[in-house]
Amino acid sequence: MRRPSHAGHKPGPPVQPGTATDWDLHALLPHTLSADEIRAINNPSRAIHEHRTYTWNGWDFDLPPGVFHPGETSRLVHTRLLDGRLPVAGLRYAAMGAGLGVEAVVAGVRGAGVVYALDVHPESVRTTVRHYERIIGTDGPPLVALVADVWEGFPDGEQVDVVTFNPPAIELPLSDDPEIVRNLCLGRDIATRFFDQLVSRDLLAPDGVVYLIVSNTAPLRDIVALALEAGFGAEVVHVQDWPGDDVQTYLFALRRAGGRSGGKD
Amino acid sequence: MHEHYADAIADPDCIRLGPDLVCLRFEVMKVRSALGAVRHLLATEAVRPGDTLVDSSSGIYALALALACHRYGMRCHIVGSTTVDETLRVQLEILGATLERMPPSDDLMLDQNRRVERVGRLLLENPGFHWMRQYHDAIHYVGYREVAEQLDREVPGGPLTIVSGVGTGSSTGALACYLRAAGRDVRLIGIQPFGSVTFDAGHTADPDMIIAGIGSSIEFRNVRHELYDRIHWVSFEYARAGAVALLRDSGVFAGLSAGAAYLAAEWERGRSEGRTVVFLAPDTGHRYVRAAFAAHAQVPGIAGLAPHEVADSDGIALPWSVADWAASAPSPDDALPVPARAPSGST
Repeated sequence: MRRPSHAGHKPGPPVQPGTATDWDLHALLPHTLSADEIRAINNPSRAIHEHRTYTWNGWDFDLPPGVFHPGETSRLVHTRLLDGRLPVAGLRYAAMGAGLGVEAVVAGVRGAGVVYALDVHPESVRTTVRHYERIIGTDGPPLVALVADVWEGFPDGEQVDVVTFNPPAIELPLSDDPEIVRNLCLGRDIATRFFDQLVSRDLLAPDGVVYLIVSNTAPLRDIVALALEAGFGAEVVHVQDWPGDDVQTYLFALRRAGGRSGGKD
Repeated sequence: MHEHYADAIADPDCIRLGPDLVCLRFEVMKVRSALGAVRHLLATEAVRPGDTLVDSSSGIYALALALACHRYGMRCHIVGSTTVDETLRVQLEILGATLERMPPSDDLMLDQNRRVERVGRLLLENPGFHWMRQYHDAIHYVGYREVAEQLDREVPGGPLTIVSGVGTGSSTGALACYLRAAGRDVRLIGIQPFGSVTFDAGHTADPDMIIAGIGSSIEFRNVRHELYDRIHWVSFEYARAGAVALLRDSGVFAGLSAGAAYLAAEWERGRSEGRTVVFLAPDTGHRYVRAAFAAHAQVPGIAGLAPHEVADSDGIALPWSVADWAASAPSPDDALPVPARAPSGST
């Protein structure tokens, strides 16, 4: 059933790691910013239709039209995968929304047991494969590259230990450009489908963890509530606020009830 | 004059069955959706003429997409089930569509996953392929804009109550969106079979059979729950009574979802003073002759039938239940469907 909206409330101070977990944490999280604030912060660029390049950690990435250029939020995940705060070594790792393939490459460098790269956009998956083959090569962990709609298309009977998910969860139609909508504006139903399929198909190992990153430009509280209702516990791994606006970006660790703790900032 | 057969069978007829009751009757409604989607993809240059459009389907969407591809000079590839019937298979072949058939299991979610896995491999190997994603991509709303405009012209002024089965959600969602955006007062009434998860009735089951084409055992993103005001859950038995009554009362020979919609529309009429009730008949009755119409002499009339009026989906019971849905008033921001694809990494 739908929940009432409190969108537009001024957020309180960021909820730091260790302050609260689960529904106590949910009660402290900020409501979604107002539509005007979200529009002012997110000014989608039509550059996605052009060929671009991206350099990070000394690696050069090539972005064909339609492949998303990472922003600061994405880099919060990339840096933590690289320095081991989000551990993947020896584990089965899934990058949900592979994009240009940075997460897959970093997981390869960090020695994941196997790397699954999933994206609904075929050119993003091909781009991930190209970058992985060039930077990691054949000596690294195996890459399983999948064109998939959230988990639809992920092989039945397989499980993963670690998932990173940076959902395109803004609910305003910031653009009528389908490429921008695909990358930014799919609302909470993308999170609903993510958790429903993860649980109903038992795709996460018993001790597995989902690292979810989401800001109060999206229905943050509703998305965390969806995770809690799906049987996950939630804790904050990192919170980032930004100068000049009220945006708070949270990196959560979500584990099935009884799962071990891990992921430190 | 129509430019193509697909245009002809996609155009609905408005048939007035009473001063406040209209049947919006299609020969094959999904062709309207597929034509609009393909036209939109070409107009936005997401695909080019000659590209291949691919999706998983074992039913009428496969034919609709094949016809739309024939209309616009595209190739069509369908990943379906070995249960695809002969009538559909030969039409697809002659239209030039290619069909891969995979054996089904008794779990629709697993079947859909395996078909999507196959579609995913095809997309990786073939850069010229485009995935239609009929369940999730809002481009399937676009074709119904013209239907909404036609309805607005042919049923002018006054508030409307639209009653229809909800399958992928595109037809009902689009009609409500486009008509509300045009300033019409629209109440949207959805019809579901028992057992469908779409509006939280997965805990129930119909002992007879599921009404083909509506409801689902998996979630569809094109169903926008916030657009609906009320939901009716109708059993096969009562849908059949509606279909027979529709033919008997009006001469309209339509399928089971149309029968369920007629049943619900008649009930809604009594609660919709000052409103015109429009119900959708998405296909003809030919596919249902044996299952629905043959034993018509034993099928009861609908005048004495009434639903259980319940608070929510937890309380529904066979053979017919109705509940107000927790719809919130749509804001101007979400009044119109956004043609979208789906996830990828975000900011």
